[in-house]
Amino acid sequence: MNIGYLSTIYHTSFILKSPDNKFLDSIGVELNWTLFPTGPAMMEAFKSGEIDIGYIGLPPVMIGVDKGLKLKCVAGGHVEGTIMISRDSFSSCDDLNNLDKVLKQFEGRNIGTPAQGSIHDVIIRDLIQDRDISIINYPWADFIPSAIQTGEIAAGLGTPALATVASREIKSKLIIPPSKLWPYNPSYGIVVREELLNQDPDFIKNFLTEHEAACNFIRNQPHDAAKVAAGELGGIDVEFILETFQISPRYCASLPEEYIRSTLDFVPVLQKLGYLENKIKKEDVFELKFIQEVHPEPSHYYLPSYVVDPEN
Amino acid sequence: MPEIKFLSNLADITGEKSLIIEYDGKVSGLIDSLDTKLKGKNFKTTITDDAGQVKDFVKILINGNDIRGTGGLSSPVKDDDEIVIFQTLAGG
Repeated sequence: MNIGYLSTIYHTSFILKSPDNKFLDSIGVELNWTLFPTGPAMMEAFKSGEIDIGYIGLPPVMIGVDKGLKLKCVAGGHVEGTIMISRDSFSSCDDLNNLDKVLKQFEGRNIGTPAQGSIHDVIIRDLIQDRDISIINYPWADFIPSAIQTGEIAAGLGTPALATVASREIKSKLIIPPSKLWPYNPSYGIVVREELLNQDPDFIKNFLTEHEAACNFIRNQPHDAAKVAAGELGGIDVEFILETFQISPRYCASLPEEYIRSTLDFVPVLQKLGYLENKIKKEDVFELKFIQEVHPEPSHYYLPSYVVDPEN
Repeated sequence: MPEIKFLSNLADITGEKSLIIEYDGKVSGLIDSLDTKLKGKNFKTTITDDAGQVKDFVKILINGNDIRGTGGLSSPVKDDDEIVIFQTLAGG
């Protein structure tokens, strides 16, 4: 099986692919992992048949489905994974207690975000409609801190990891938290080629079982999980990863109604922005039977990270 | 002369945000030249693995193109190229 993943450190890919643990030992299938810069780049790999499974935000998946790709989201992973950062001279949502006032500071300026069609790009384009703000898309989110520093952009959107990187590189701050940008937004899920649903249901179920275990590991033992992820990524300390984990600690494999509703709330926005031609429905994107079997209990997305789930 | 920019933790490791060096050849030779110039900073061992390949999470872009799609370490480096080297940390 060929799996596409992103460099987003709180995705379970960093736990599951690490040789330091045994999560996937029982799977019995060879797994090849390929790193992609963004969700839209991963959709190109689905299109060419390069990957079978992907760790990806849902808006690019809906765009791919609209263009004819046969894909299904079979599990969640994390919600509210988009933040906005800027230089620390700007006022934040906490300072102003008003999203409109925060955005008004950026009129006449540029805001940076990953590729067109990525969840971050869609969220900011929706927010700035009818405002004099321009968007600059970057092939890798890693370019955003230095672009803020040089003044090319005044702010940037990306994952919580972007906030951690930027805070170490420049004088930046979290200006809009994830919950204020798009509540419960489906920052990533596990997406598979539709043929796999019938060809290899046992593999999907087994993979999701380990994915859920890894979500629990991140949520319940963040320090241990951060050590594994730091070892896998290299060149970065455990504190970097812990800091990132804590910006939006919403880790779970389930697909509750809130996740699905938040995903489908993107449809009219994607249509308005010209990314979708057709109206995408729940059954076009989601296949729930596997995760309902693996994770029948209520979701864990809103359990605080310091609360140990008694079921685990 | 090609300009090399370093992002995030690689700028910390090298102590440089950008360098302009005299070089004409392949990426593999450029890494060796940078390792010599940045002596004592473990540059080469930071970005390459035991097999000498660029680590998964390290990206080398020449004029915006990832060298993984243009010949890897054998990709040519020309006089007016802009090269960016970074470790992917900020997510997708």
